[in-house]
Amino acid sequence: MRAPWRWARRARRLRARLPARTATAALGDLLEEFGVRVARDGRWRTEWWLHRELQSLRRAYARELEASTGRRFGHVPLAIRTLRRVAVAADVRSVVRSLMRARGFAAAAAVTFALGATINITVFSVVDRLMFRPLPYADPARLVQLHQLVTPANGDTPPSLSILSEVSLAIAERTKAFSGVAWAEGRPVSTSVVAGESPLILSVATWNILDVLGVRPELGRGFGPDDAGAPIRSVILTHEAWQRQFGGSPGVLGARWTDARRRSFQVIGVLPPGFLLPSSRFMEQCDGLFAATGLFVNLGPGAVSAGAVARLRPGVSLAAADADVATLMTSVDQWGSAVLRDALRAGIGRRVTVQPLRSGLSMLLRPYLWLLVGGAWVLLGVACVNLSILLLARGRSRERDVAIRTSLGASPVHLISRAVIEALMLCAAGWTLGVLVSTWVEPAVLAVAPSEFRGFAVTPLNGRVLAITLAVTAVVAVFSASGPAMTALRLDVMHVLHTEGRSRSSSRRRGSGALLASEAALGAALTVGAIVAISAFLSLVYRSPGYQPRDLYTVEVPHGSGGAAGSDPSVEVAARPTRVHVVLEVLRGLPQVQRAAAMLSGLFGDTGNADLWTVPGAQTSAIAISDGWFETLGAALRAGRVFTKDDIAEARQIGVLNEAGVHLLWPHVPVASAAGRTVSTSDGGRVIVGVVGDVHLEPGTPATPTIYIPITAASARSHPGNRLAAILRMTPGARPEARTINARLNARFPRASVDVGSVERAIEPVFGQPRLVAVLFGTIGCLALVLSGLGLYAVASLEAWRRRHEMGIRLALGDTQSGVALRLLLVTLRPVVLGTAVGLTAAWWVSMAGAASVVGVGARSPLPYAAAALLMLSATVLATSTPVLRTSRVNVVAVLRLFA
Amino acid sequence: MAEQAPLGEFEVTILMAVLQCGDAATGTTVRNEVARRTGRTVARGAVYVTLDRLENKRLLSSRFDAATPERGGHPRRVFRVTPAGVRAVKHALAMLAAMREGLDPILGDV
Repeated sequence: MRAPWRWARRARRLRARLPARTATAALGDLLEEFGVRVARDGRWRTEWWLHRELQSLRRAYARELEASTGRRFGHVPLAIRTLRRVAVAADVRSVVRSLMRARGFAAAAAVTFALGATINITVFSVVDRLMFRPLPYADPARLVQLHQLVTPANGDTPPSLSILSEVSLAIAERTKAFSGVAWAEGRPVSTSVVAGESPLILSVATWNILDVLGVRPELGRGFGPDDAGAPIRSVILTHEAWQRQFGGSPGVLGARWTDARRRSFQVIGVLPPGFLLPSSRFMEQCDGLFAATGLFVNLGPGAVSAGAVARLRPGVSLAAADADVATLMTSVDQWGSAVLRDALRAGIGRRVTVQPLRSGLSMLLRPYLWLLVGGAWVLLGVACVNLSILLLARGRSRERDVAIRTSLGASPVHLISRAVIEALMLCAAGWTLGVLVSTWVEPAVLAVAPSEFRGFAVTPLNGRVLAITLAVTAVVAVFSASGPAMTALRLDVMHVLHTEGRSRSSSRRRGSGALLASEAALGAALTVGAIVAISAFLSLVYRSPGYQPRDLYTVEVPHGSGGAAGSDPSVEVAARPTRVHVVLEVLRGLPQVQRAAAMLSGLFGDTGNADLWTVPGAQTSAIAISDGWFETLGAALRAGRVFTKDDIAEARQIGVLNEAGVHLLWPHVPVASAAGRTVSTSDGGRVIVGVVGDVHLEPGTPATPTIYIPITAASARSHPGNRLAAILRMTPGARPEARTINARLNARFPRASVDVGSVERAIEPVFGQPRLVAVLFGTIGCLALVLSGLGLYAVASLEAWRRRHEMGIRLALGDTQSGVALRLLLVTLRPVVLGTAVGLTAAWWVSMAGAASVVGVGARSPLPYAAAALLMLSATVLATSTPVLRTSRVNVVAVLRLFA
Repeated sequence: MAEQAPLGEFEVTILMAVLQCGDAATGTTVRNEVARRTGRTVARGAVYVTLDRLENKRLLSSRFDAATPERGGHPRRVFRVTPAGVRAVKHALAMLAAMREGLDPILGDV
């Protein structure tokens, strides 16, 4: 007959509880009946029966013990419970005393766990509101996001999630699944209540947004249909902006202002605290909402907004709503306008995705967020394994103590509870340290976090963050204690007491080897991530955008009507050329301005007068600039010259090409040879006098082939835009004051009002996510290496101490010191090599599964893997060298005498 | 000898089951006998604990038989009721009989 599953272990446990004679007889009875039942009921049913029988015996004798204690000391269960509490308190006191005696170990273990806890608390405080916390809306389970996938035709920019306003309107009017459809744009609109002071950052939203979300203003009223299209924009402030800008005064209701762009706003309400803008375009700061001019209709059929938010009618499932919308989109040719059909053909997905609002909000950021959370968890795993190794090492050095306790009658429960209490105390100390450190580094983390994350981050001292991380800490403590507890339970008491802890069986090394391998695997995977993320970020930072963004500012000045909204009708078209000169004269005369120049287009993403220069099949731009433009921007001159004042004054038919323009026109001509050639333009052709380097308005984006032409009176007059863009190169650290510029411009022409912005800040979002990933992964990778090194050191020290007798004999028999050292080194090297191989394979698999697009494409190159392997092996050799060398130089005579 | 505390119902049941089993009273057979006669499934742990307790009270004695391979080399423990145990059973039954007197109209022939 086959013995029952793990019979020896179960028999041992039963013997520990029952009197010896009873246990012997009971085990025999059970085995005898087991044989009969297996033949009758089958193996698994009998195993289950045996489990219950053993459990019944253990419980009955535990109750009997308790009852006999009660009979002896008075049958008072309360007394027994009190005794147990006293026993736990005594254990706690004993563990504290023991840790105080081993302060070095306690500090190392607490710091080890604190490293993992700090990262987890920090990451959790940043991502909690985005990923895990319930949305601050009424019945959020019935809120969904509707979006289409917009794939740009040129493939240069990543796809985005948006929805055409005509589609939103059709869904609102033609489907029955939703009780309301609304949107909030999430594109920041800056408006200064008081000129020159910090502006309010608002987002446009449909008037029904609060109704759909089920949010009631805490002060004033929400939007109504009358607010849409009103000449004065109705604003509902967030609670935070109300407190910050208006001191929480109820008098804010009715506050009205007109900003630099001549838009009028009026406050009608205040949102409750913690309001979250339901838009997947995250804003660094959202101070409130203002009503759009219409629900969807006034936006124009082709207008694109961030995904719409809708509320499902009661009883309608997500799948039913999805099917309803899909049915609607199949008949788009019947109800859609020509503009909509063109837009759908141009790359906007015909399929409208209906998904829960939470998923929709964080959809674009989710890979980053999960990568960060995953990295933090893996680091916590490394810290946990490390703590286990340290506790295991400590447990082995205290085997004699445990053996004495066991021989004096310590129960298995007592041994386990002692191990758990020790781990809990160390983890609690580490967690406290982690909370303190994460609070201390919070400003630094927020400084490197992408702007869109900052608004969602909460303080590490937030109650929810503390409670959840504390619960995780408790779980980790129990896990970390399991290894030492098992070791204590399996201890061969007689052997330990007999040998006084001088020798060990080799089987006991298996635990630390497995822990070491798993630690190496986690550490290697994190190191790969760190190397890839850091190299991707550095490549972005050191890839020059073609100009110097530091201390560069943009100033936008009204430049006439141009027929656009928000224009300044006071500027006569005829006066525009003069105005350009006056603006430049004023700007160049400002204090701390080193250089100033102007252009007749926006600085970012504007193609200027695109009709001037067209090349079939390519997107080009033609931009009119003033003299000193390239010098102010800090762009590099590759060949020829740039414009002079005479070129501008005499309106010469010349131009300057960028490198992309030269490559487009003359692919085989060196850049230096382009000067002097003529480019065909709609105004009769222009002679190229110089070539400048490509200006990537955002680092990492491709440059548009561009011809720069001098600003002339004619171009200034015919410029279709209503804004004149100027750039200022300031002395380092100085910032132009909008108030000063306004005052000086007002002295020259009335009602001038300008917007000032920092170029460095404008391109900052490009660096945000790679920087956060690089910093956090870099930190996590470094910490993983440090933790792995600590674990390796602990294991190597333990092995060296444990095998000093064996090494002494080997040396006495003629082995060399290097041979002994190599033998010891291999003990730690073997599991590390195995673990590193597993970790690198896992990292490769994760990168192939899509993480490479988040961390950096370098994750697909073999170099980071080789570097990570090298780092892990170097860390192993470095961490183990000291204990290994110390043992190889052991005094043979002294050791042999000690073990004699 | 100090006066014994009165036996509980389950202890009396176990003593009588051991008496019923005669020379083959082991933990398993006693449990099966109780189950067969009372129709009540009792936990193995309860039976073994009670047998140990009764042995401590010297109402039972036990001896080990030879070990067999079916039992994994463990010997069989056979119980026997001591004269004190027999007296205790008689005493318990007498107490029950005394308590039953006059209850025939209510209890009938049970």
